[in-house]
Amino acid sequence: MIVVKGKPLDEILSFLLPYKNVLIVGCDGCTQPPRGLREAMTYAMLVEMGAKLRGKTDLKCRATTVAKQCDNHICSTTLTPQLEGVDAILSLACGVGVQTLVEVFPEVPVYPGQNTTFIGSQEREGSMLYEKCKACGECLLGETGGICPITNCPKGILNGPCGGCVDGKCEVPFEIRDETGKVVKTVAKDCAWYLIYQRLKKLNRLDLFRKYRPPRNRAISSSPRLMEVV
Amino acid sequence: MVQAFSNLMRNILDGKFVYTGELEPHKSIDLSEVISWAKTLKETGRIVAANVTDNPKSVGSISSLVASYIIQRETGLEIIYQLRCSDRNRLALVSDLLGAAALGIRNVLALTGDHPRQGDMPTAMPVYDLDGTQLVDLIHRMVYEGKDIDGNEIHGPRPQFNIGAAANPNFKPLEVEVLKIERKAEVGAEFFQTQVVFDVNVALEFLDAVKHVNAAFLIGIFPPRSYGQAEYFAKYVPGVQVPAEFLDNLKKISEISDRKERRKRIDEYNIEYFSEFIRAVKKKPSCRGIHIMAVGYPEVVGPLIESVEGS
Amino acid sequence: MLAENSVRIRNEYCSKCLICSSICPFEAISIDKETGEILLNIEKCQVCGICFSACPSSSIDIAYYKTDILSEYIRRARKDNLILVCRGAVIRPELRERLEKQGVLNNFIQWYVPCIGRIPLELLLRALEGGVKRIVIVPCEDNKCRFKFGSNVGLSRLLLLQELLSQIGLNHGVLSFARSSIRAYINRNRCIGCGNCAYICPSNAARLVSPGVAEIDGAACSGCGACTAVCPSLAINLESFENKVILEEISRHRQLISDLRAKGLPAVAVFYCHWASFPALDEYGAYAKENVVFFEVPCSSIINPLYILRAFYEGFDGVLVMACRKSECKFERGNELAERQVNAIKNLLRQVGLEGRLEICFVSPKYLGEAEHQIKLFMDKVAAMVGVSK
Repeated sequence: MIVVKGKPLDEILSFLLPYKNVLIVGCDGCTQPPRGLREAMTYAMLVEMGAKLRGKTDLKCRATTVAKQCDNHICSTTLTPQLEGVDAILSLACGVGVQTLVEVFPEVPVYPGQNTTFIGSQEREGSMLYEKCKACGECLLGETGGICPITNCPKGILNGPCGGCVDGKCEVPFEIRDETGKVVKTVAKDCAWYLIYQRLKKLNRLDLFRKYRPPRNRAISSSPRLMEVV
Repeated sequence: MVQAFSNLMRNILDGKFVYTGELEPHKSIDLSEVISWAKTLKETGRIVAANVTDNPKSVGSISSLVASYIIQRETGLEIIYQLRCSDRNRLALVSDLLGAAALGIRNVLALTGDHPRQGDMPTAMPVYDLDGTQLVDLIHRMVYEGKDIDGNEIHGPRPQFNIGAAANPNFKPLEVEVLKIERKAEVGAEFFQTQVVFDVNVALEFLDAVKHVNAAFLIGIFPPRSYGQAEYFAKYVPGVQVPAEFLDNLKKISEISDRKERRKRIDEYNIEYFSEFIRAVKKKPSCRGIHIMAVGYPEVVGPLIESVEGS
Repeated sequence: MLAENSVRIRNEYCSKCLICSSICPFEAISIDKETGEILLNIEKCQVCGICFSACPSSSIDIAYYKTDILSEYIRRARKDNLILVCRGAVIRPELRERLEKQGVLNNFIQWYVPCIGRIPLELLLRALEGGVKRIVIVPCEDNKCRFKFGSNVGLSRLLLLQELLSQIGLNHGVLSFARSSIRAYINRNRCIGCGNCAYICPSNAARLVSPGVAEIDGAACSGCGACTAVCPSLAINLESFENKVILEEISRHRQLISDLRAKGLPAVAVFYCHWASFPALDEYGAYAKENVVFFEVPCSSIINPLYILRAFYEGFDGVLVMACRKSECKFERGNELAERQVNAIKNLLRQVGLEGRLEICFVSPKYLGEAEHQIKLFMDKVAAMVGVSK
């Protein structure tokens, strides 16, 4: 799932204060935590209240949601009837959703309400979100025991572990940041290559661990990417 | 077949037991202090080459290539040029390596490098286009095939380097470290300099575990200038075991109030402890030398080697 | 101690029959072997009142829902029908229809009580004596009682009374009951299949079914409402506590708030878990200040950002959430979920500029005045803040 994190309200307000009728568009797709109708309604009230407290009383927000904000057709059909009088859109989807709305409605300014952070998973509602995939384009999981070194090793190295692995722990811990980017907490992290070693040893495939992996073709994951549907 | 391009490798291939030193230039354009340390090392007549560190602990410092060149030119001491993957992509690595070869550097130590998050510019982008093993592969191709990692030809004469890599005898389980070393040796690592070892048993166990690997192993030691330095290793450098007896003895010496006497005793104790250490590891055929990381403490190096080898 | 206990055992009247001790669902009552006194461990007590209604010598006193006051109320009201509903239960449309057909729904009194098991037969007899013609009781379903077996104890007593009444010639219709617990229900057209409800449900009633749509097993649902709070698409609602109902209820107080503002008084909204605080007859008589508005919820875990933000949006100056004490949630950890939710909302409010206006407190009805005290503390805090900002 695409993990998003709400932008600071001050930043959102700095986008929206010049407008009067804002449509807040949630996404029922893959954003994690979900950014559906309830979040759109929440943001609608937050933005109006925040604007009022900052002396702007004529900003009105309406909330809506679409099934998949990354789909031009769905956005167009769902939102076109709701755009009457709207002078700006706040998208609660990932960066893909924001750009899709820009393409579908070029005449309306569209602003992001979220910071798109990573592709990850959540064990359950309320638990931490873990980054799991970097969309590198050449999946290695088949030979690393199902543990991704590209994502889980801070150096993303292919011939690990590096010297920063001590007692199975990585020299770089997880860093939990607040909305301004400041680190508020660190959490010890397992060394990805140590986990890979343990897993491959268990599978009796240390030959895969021992194998030299030549440098990756970085061109595969260089942006922007374009892919043909075959 | 390994060719000797450097004095270091020539000595190793001749079957000599080698000693290397370590020099750490800082975030400064003034190299006079490292140059004076290098001179001290050179004057011992026992240090065959010295490493020049590359942004150690990810603290942004003067270019290790520039420092290596100047020190080598000023002192005549052969340099082992350290090169990290943390800060350079394969393009930058190739161009620095070509530059190093043109400047007469003959040894490279290929390192993955500490993560920038550990250093003084933690907001930096970590590069790691290659890792340490792949860097060994790249250098090997440049030297032995005259090509870069993508197969492009290097014009004119091939660079001449002997290729080093890092190893860590403290790693647990040792099996992982051995597999890594085999991997690095497979792609062209000719010598390994190890992480600091204080406990001779750790070094002996390691040397036994890698005796099948066709490469020269230089065990890293760190004679501490003070009790504080040794304590730092014991407390803050994860994975490095410092024997309690060693710490206790240093602590006792550190309590001597007369400064001159204290210095003398520390020197004596370091020489006593590490000469015994060196004599023990030297018996292992896989051990081809000692890497003495006496950063800022070059005066101990000569007497220490003399006490092992005789004057 | 801040407050006195709301449950007391008057040993001077006690016949030491030990029914209370054997019936208490929380093992809070014991006998002192030396002195023979009946002891109440108030820390364990959850004020269900089952002991109170079971005591043959009326030596247990509970501060809430006193029989005398209730029967006096019934006598004065002069209604034909009395409907007693457990707080965990609901009158569903089909039951409503039936009651309507039977004529119960005209000329009636309806009360919510914390547990059917706390109703003494004496109250029902006095109601009949006072002119009530028909009593309908709506207890929770089997296994859904918030007090373990209060519902079953209450029901077996009612069967006994029914039998007694028929012996004196009154037909079974005089006293009837229908078990029906509050349940969450889902609008599958709105569900986006995120699975939050399935993760949060304390009774494993919600689950994701193929293809990515959730389903709620009504028979297993315990009616806390936590799933409605985490549903990002507002697809889940809880009977009697629908999002729409609660939001409309919050918005109903616009006039009151503007009147208060004119008087220079802050307006405070209190969302209270109805197991954390027992006001007599659902009226907060004791501390109903004109500027406090109460919103009842079935568990603090039902509280979602929309409710709180709507309250501030409509002009409330402060919002207080009253949840059960840490180990006393009737749904395992609803109060913990509420605390987490409140912290997340606090973060949003801080960004708007409403820091300090939302608080959560953990109370129990077992200490008299505890809830009032928390409300007072919060009101003072809000008053000070509003005063400063003006």
